[in-house]
Amino acid sequence: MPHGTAPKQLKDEIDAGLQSRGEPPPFKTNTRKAANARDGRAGEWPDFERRRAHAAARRQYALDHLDELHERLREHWRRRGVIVHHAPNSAIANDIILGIVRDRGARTLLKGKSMLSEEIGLNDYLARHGVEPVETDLGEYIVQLRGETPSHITMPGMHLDRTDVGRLFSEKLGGEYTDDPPALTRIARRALREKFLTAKVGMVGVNFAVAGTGHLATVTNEGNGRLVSTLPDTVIGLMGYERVTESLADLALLWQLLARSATGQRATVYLNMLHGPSPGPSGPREVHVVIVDNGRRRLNDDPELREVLRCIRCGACLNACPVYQQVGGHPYGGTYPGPIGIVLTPALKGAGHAPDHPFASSLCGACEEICPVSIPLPEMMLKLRARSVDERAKPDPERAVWRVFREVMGSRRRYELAAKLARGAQALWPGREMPIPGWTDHRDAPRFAKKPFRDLFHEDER
Amino acid sequence: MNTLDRFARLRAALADVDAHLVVIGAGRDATAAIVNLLAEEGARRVALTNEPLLYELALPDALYDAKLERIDPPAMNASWDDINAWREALARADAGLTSAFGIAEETGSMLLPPLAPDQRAVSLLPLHHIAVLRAGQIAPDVGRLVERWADGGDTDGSAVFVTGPSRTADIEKELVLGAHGPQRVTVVVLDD
Repeated sequence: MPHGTAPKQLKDEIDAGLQSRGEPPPFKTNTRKAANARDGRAGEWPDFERRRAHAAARRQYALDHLDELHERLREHWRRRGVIVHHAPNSAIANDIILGIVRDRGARTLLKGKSMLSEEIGLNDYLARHGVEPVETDLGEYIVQLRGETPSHITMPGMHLDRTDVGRLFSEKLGGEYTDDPPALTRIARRALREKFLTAKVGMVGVNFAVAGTGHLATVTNEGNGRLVSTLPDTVIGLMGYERVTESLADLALLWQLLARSATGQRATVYLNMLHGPSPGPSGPREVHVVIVDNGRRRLNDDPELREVLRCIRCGACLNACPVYQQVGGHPYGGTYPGPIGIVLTPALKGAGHAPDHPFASSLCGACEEICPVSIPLPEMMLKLRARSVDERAKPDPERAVWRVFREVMGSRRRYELAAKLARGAQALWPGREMPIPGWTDHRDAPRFAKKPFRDLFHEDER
Repeated sequence: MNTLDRFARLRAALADVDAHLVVIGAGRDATAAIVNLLAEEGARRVALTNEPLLYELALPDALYDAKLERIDPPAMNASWDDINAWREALARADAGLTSAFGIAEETGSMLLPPLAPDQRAVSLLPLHHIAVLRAGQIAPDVGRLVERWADGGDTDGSAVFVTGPSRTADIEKELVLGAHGPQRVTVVVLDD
């Protein structure tokens, strides 16, 4: 499995992925289980569509008032003694986090799950500067032990089965081989407990910051997010600029939708609401929030694409996507796979950074249908395709083909001449398909009739 | 909806997240019932918070009388060493007793409010988390539970919503209970 593929190699990675996978690939069964669970839970709310529309509206409201909500957040944070850092890009974010860890004299950073920390490349940066990042989410912990990157937003080890994990633990942690999930979980629990109790600095990914109160809300099922944000002396909340919601009521709805869409639960086991340093002797004495921009504010000004910032990172679109179900997450490269990834990666970094991403879709629309905040992903894919084409270096063979097409279709004489030539060319491959480079790799070439209809029509007339 | 129906829905929601509901009827000795619960599962080391309801039920004394090893919350002026010792004890505890702000019937989600000194670890480190509430603290759903909290005027401080024991399905989507948090959660409702 690749460590981290670059978005530019999407087509090659998909080909390689399709050829090398086992039958059936683990992500095929796992996405199906997740999608079925989601459908079951969504069905429990007779007014699911209304709640979904409300959630979309609340996310959009937040995006439309982002700066104002951040001002309110800062007020609460100032009052509660939370230390606020703004990071315009990944490099600065990493630097800030490293600085906090070093200031505490710590050599490890205990981490709750955070896709944003993947996006900024935090783990590599820390490792290069002598700080060991320790992933505590079981899936992330496993993927980290394997030296890989996660292949799914909410289930990082989607591409692994129990024997993979069994072999990994027995090799890296010692002890007898087992591939029984409860036993494997206990092994991980023991290995990580020690780290929880001794870590000086912890970091959690913030799912939402609540502007009405200043709480940093983090969602987990395992309890690692709670342990990471309550036990260490210093706790860092890492959030994207767009991860703000106005009220606790909004949070309640988004939390439940996130749980139902991601894993088919009514609620995640834990919704941790970190408000700031603890007044008493236990609990974090210092709380930092690092707010990362990394292209989000510019994206919020882009009228065609800004709605993608509504995303609550549930991963439901991955589970529904026929492309993702076949190839899994790694071929996409970058941080975010699946439908959200093929829009978000070029949206944040520019169409040229991931030129093939918007084309890796059949536009079936399953993603938009399942999205709890109704992001019009297929429409955005079309917009990004146009941008990708506009940004292509010239000369561009596809452009030339379209120019010829326009010329030919523009005149009846040219059209009839072209059709005659095509029929002639077809005769060179009697009984077989005419090969058109690139096109007939995945499609059947159309067959031209021996006589065009207009000739038959005129014959009949006489 | 009469009270009996209300408990059935909560019981089902808790069962769905692998948690348990124990209802103690009015007039019954709640304290004895809770100590009994602990005895039945062979709990020897029990931690508790200093929440008012636990004191109203005289649980600290009851635990002492039952000869259980009681792990008390740290004092406001506790040293860092004291805190560490307390956490180590929690990590070895069989059960942690807390109260809660309220619980949502639809999902079985409990809101654990801020406590000083921060004692949330009592609901997190021991293997079994037991939360004691009064029936009046049950809200129909998460939205209304949050409303009660927000309208109550005091949302200051770090809090957490807990829905059943900790779990993971990161290996082949097979569910395992007791990932990093408690493996068992029991909600005790005083029907008074």
